[in-house]
Amino acid sequence: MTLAVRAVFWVIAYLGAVLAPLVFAAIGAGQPDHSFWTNFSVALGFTGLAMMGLEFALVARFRPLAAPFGQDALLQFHRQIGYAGLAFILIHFGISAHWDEVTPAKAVAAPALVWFGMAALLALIVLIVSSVWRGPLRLSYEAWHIIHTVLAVVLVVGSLLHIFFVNEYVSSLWKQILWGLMSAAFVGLLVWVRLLKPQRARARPWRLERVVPELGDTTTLVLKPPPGAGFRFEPGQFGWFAIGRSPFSITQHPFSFSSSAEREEVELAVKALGDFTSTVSELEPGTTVYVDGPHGVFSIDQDEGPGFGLLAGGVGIAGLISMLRTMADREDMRPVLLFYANRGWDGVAFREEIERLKENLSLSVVHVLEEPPRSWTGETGYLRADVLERHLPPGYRRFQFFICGPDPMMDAAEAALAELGVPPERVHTERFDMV
Amino acid sequence: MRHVQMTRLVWLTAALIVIACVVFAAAQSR
Repeated sequence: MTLAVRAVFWVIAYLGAVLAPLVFAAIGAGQPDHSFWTNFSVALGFTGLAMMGLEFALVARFRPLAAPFGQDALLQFHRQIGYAGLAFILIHFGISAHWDEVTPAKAVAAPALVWFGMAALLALIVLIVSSVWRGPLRLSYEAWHIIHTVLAVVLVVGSLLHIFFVNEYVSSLWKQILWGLMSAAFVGLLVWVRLLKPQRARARPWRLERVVPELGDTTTLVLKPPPGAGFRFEPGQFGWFAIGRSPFSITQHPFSFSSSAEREEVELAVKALGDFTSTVSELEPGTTVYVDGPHGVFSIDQDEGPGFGLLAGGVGIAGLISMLRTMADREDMRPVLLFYANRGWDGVAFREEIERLKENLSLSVVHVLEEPPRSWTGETGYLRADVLERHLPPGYRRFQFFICGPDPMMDAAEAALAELGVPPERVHTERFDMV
Repeated sequence: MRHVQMTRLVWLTAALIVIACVVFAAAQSR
């Protein structure tokens, strides 16, 4: 199956899973007469719950699901469809709540279905507020991740109990079985992600060999896979890492592999940007690391071309330098043009190595600095279309382009390539903005 | 432009779900 066919398959499967509760509710007679709006509200509640349950599947790192889209695109879908689910559930609440009975006295005596429904709704609202405004709320990624996971479980379990206590939709045995199966699938997903996968990782501990400081607040971590692991990745792919902590810890960190895919030692390039990444330079060699990977479809091995355009912003260089190092090891002499955007010259990680790589590759490098030194004669500002146009060789529209960096830089680079007529299927991106 | 395509897919998916909810409500309240 081609990737496009697989993508269509997954979209249909998603719709099927979201709409399945409606089919359960629609089949079988004996339901009391409801108005159109009550039924519409019920439908939004059911589909909203199914969407929330499936949010777990979207971030469960299933390779077959991620392959046609890319893990970052799945995360984007997870986030945006979550807003749609919130809208569905708020409308459900708006229509179905007995507004004339909303008084503090009656709220205390409200039936269990109301309490569970309200708990689920509250969990959903806090979950989304804490995700959208994580920055202003000053929540660290680690704290946010724990809150997110706990609230998501409260949301789904609360919603299932809400339906159970409504009773009307689980009155017959076969409906109870169907809802039981749906609930079991949800629990199974949690067990798989939080217990079975970490258990498997625990049996294969990696070791931190060296910690190497680089320019630009960046640190290279050199890792050694367990003996006989036969670990392989494609240049540009990434993994999830539990460094110096249990494989069962809720929070793991995604990092691109920065080393050559042709070597045994595996390297990561980590920039000090958050609570955890700021402590990476202090890690001790010998620390145990657990790895879930490789993941991702952002790789020169997945999208071959007559040449490559690599567009990096800051630490986005990690996956792209892996491509350059791999090509050097493979003696791949296809033309490569690297556009590398940074704030200042002193923060350009790997700049000396990139110069050396020119000797073994057909590589041209264009540094673009936001705050250049006085003597700078190179490109300045952002990765705009005019900057790219000045350096791209003839026939560049047939190249494969890989972009990795902060979101605004990626948006600008994607727009610039579109402006220059590069077909969208030859533009590949990897975004790590988890929230 | 993958993220733009993904946003369109989200809109399309949400719209299809809403249509299914309307059909469900119409069929159930006949």
